[in-house]
Amino acid sequence: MDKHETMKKSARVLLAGALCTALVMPAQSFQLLGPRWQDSEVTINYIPIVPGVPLAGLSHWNNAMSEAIDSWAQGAPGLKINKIQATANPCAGISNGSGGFVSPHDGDLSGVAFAGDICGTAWNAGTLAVNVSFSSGGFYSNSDILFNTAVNWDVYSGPIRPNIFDFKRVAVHELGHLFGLGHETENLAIMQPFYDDADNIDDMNMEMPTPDDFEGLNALYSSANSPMAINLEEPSSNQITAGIGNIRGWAVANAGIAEVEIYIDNVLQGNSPYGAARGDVGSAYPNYPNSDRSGFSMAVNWSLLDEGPHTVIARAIDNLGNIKTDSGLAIVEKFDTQFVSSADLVKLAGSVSTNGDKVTLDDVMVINKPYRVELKWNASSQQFDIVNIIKLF
Amino acid sequence: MNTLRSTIATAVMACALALPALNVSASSVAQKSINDLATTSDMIFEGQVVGIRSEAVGKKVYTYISFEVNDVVRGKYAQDTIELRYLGGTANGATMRVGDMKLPSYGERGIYFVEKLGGNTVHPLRGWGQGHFIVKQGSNGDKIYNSLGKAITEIDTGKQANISSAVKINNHTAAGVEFDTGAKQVMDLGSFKDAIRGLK
Repeated sequence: MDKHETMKKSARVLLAGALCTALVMPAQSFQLLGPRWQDSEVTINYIPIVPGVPLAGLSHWNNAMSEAIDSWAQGAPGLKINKIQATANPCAGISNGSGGFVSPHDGDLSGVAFAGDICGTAWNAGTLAVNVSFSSGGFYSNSDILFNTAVNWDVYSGPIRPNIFDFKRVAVHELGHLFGLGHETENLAIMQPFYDDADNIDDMNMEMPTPDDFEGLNALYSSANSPMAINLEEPSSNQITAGIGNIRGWAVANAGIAEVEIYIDNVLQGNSPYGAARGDVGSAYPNYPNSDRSGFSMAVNWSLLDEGPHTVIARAIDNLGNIKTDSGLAIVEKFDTQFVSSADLVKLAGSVSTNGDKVTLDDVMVINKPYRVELKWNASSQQFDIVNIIKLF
Repeated sequence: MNTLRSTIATAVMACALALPALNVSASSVAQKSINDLATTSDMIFEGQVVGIRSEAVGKKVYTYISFEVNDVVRGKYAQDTIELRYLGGTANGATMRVGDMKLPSYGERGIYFVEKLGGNTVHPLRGWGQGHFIVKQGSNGDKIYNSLGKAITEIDTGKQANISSAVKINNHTAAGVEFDTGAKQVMDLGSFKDAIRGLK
């Protein structure tokens, strides 16, 4: 029996149960992943691709997916959900590792598929389905759902049946993530990270989004304008930089910080690690969540850049997609090499003089070339930093 | 700039900040028993994260996490380090996220159940979060927590250790692993490893 027949056969089975453990339902406490869909609009090609089946799909999977999408659309006025009766391969544009693609590029269409692997990467044992998303600059470009063909799927309502997984319930849950919701662990929600055995009667109809789920979606796609603050402390304006240093500062947002991007000369360097202890910021912004752990810092080898000024931008994105930036100007001073690999390659051959908080080292030999190096106390870094490197050759 | 990125990636590993985990979204992973996890993992080790790097292969992004191997709890592994590959991550300004993928952070100490050495799976650990345990230093020695930070109090080596759930998914805790938030008697690392070694 082939895979789609197996799945079709399993589709005779029924009914339902609960996605989640029973919990008291206090205030809304939805969780957001960070990115969202630009212009509050998402388009989903909802016909699941089934191996060995024409692209028109099989009606029970098609109908279940359509209903799963509708269940969200009815409670999310801020998000425009376009439901296209077509397929889109989740693996389109993904490299096959041999110079080609698993499936040709399709322009970042979002789709659904039953698949024997995850675009060339194997399913782990026990993995039923995954949501794979792509984002940049706080916005999704593409998000897909893959269901493991090796799993016994069905469409049913009512108590969960051992070893027969309800496609529609999982689809509703995965769609929540596709829209940008995270796992909810406090309140009754389809976004709970459990597909459980319904110990509590309240869970018995947990097959559709709850008010908490809709609250999260509407928070994400309402005209969000949550307050934020960011401060790039290093480099500050016209800060002399040399060697390996840090780009660092702090960022806070009422909605929570999703990521902090670092740019040098308008080229994205990557996301900075975020979450370092900053008791001072916590005291200054006590009403912002986790403000006492709002530090970010990314290491950088300034010697890889050309000598002279370079613009550094820290760009914070909150969990609602709001953006706040701060910038600094690094003036790079460097020796005639990108990296000095050994202390043996540096010799102090000349004199040392002082002037206030400045220290001048003459005839510093770096890889057999002489330099004059000036150090100055830096209040930000709380140490003497190189402020000038003069070539003496 | 590519060289700069590469250097930054290396230097970040030496950074005092822990690299934050990628955002958690959804996937659906069935609950396994701790006995199942222990006996079907290729190798289980105690180790510490010493490096994290992400790499784009076309549109796809992989994150490679390097561990120093301190102790092989089960299975055979002769080297001092191991690199595990997770699907997803950020590279070249774009982020690929795989639902429910919780990556170990830089400097993290833990116990890791490797599903298949040299494998090509989306997640390198058996049962995803179920095969990921974190070690934290307590006032009287090393203690064991699950990947979400919940204190583990006991490994049931009896009946519960052998029962996988056909209906529970995504709770990051295998059947037979008992935990309690805020527990005073958190299981110590040595007892945890002994229990894992003793599962049959």
